[in-house]
Amino acid sequence: MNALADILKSIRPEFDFTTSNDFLADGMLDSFDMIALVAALDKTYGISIEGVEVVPDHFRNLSTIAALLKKYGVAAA
Amino acid sequence: MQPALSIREVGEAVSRARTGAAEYCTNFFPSPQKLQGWISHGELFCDERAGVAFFLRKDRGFWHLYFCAADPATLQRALTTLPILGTDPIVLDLVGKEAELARLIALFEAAGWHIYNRLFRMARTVTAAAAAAPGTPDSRVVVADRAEVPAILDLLLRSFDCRAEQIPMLYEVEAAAAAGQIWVARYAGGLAGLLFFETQGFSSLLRYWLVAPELRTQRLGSALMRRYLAEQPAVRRFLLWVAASNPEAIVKYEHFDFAREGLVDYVFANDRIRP
Amino acid sequence: MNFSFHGGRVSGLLCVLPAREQSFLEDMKHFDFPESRSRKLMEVMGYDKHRLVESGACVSDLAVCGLQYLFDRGLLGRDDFDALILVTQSPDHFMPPTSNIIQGRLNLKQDLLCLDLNQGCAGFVIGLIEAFLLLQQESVRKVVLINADVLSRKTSPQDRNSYPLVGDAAAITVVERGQADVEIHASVKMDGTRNETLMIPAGGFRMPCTPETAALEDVGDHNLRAKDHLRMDGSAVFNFVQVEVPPLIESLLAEAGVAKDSVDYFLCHQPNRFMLQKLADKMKVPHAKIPMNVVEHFGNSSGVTIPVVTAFNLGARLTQEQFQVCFAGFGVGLTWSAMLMNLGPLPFCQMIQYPGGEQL
Repeated sequence: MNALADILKSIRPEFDFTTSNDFLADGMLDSFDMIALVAALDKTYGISIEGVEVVPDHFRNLSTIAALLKKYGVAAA
Repeated sequence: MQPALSIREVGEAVSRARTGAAEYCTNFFPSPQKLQGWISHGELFCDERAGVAFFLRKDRGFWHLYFCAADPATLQRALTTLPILGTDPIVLDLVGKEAELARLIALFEAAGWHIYNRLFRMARTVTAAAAAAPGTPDSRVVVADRAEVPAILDLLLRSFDCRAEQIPMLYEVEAAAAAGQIWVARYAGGLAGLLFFETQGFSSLLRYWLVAPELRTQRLGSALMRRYLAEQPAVRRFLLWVAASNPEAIVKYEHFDFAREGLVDYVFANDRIRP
Repeated sequence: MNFSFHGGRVSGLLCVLPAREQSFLEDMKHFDFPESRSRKLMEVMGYDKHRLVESGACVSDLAVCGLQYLFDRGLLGRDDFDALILVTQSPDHFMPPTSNIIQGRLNLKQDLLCLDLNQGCAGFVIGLIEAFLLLQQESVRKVVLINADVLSRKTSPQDRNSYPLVGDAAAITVVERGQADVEIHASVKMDGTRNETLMIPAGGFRMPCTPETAALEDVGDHNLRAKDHLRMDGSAVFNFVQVEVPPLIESLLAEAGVAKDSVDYFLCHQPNRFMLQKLADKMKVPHAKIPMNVVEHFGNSSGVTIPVVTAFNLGARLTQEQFQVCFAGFGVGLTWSAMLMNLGPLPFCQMIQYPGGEQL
């Protein structure tokens, strides 16, 4: 989870992502941040998250993102 | 035959040949920039006869022939009436896939033309993953300075057969240098090699790549090519034409992952040019 | 919905791009957005520069410039075509049709069917379908299809969702009779229930323009736009494209009996690079077959992006070679569409600037 939190922080350095359970409702991520996050996850883990998975529900919090990564064989550290 | 004075005139002549054509055939595909250059420099002439629009472009002591005809039979008849074919050295290019060119090849051979050379098109497709890493640029390879243009043209003329390989005119080399489309390799204070290209969108055409023969052990050729490939990150397809009479060049291009991909340029010459 | 046509072909393509080029770095000055986030946006979405008309320029200006260019160079005869279709969502006026305005400005013949079609991102495919339908009439030998939009004039410069990627442009496509045995296949789907995904709320009769509709407002995403301005639900559009477009293309290829690998290029509408990368991956098509470089050079000009991606990447080669291409347009409506055809060799496939007509 720490690696994930670090990636999120690189996109929105002003927030601490370990303190929220709903990044979108809490205004910490918007739709463009989601795209930047997907691009960063693709690059970091050498995967290609499918476009149909780029929906708000998958990016609500660290757990939902980790669950998405697990689908691509990545055990988020 | 008269000088082509405007792009409109050329367009209308092509249109007249093309309108209602059942089996339109042509080898005339100039880009607007090239066409404007030829017209502005008085290099292009037009001869409309027997339903065919012929264009002749002046080169260094010879002509390039282009045709626009309603069908091959019309072209064949019109060719027999073109006076300049009997007096001046002329080349013409037929570009396409082998099977599609067969009829026109037979037509020109029957009309007394001979195959002067063939060029093959080679291509290198890039996937994002395989894109060349920049590495450390070789400092001997730099973008050409405009002052080097005469030396660049001289090197091109000494290295290639202008009848087969369409060496550009001075003004075209100047424009290319101004647009940053020529890399040069310098050695011992002089021009040792060059790589001349045209990139448009996600394609790049490598027009010329050469190193002076006496300097070929200095690995300048590969330095030029590596620099070119590495500094075109948006390009997904590299293309080039290579003479069939230059198998060593084909091997060199294959070393850089170029492969033949089916298009051929048959360069024909009339009997005023020796095979 | 499937279409198939025989005996038609595209016989020329000209794109007209405004001379004014603005960079994303200049756009950024108007956003309430930290520079680091703007740069991240630039990198991921592929923003760099876009082409915008100077204030006051209209669709008919771009179209007239392009047509005059073709007439002046003998590439199109002013009396040679029998229909003029203009696909636009930014007409000069509600009334008269802008296609008639173009006809009048160029003094074109009266025996000319002039038709405005209100379509956007899918407008090139929809326009081609209309052109091929018209060619089935004996009196229609040749159709000029114009796709044109100046939507930068309807986009808030303080809307970082939309402004950096919008572009203005026009394209003129000549469509005429071809070989009877050559088939062209197309497929279209529309879903009006999602019509608000991409819209300009005010300006029509449902919500006429007023000083209130011109007032900038923050709808909660720190972007400022008026009801007079273009608005889009970016996530919804992204998801719609990923879900709907691949099966449409697959079904079109199946209907045509063509293997995906034998398509040389997929020439898609250009919303942004990220969306196209994901689309290419979903369709399992190599990125080299789906050019996705229009937004970074010219911006997203709605229905014109397909002609622009074609001319920009394949212009020189299309004058000599033939490719099997699949056009795919998707967006406002919502509409998604695709067309499969052999394209080339074309007598012309060029890009010029407005004003002036210089080659690009």
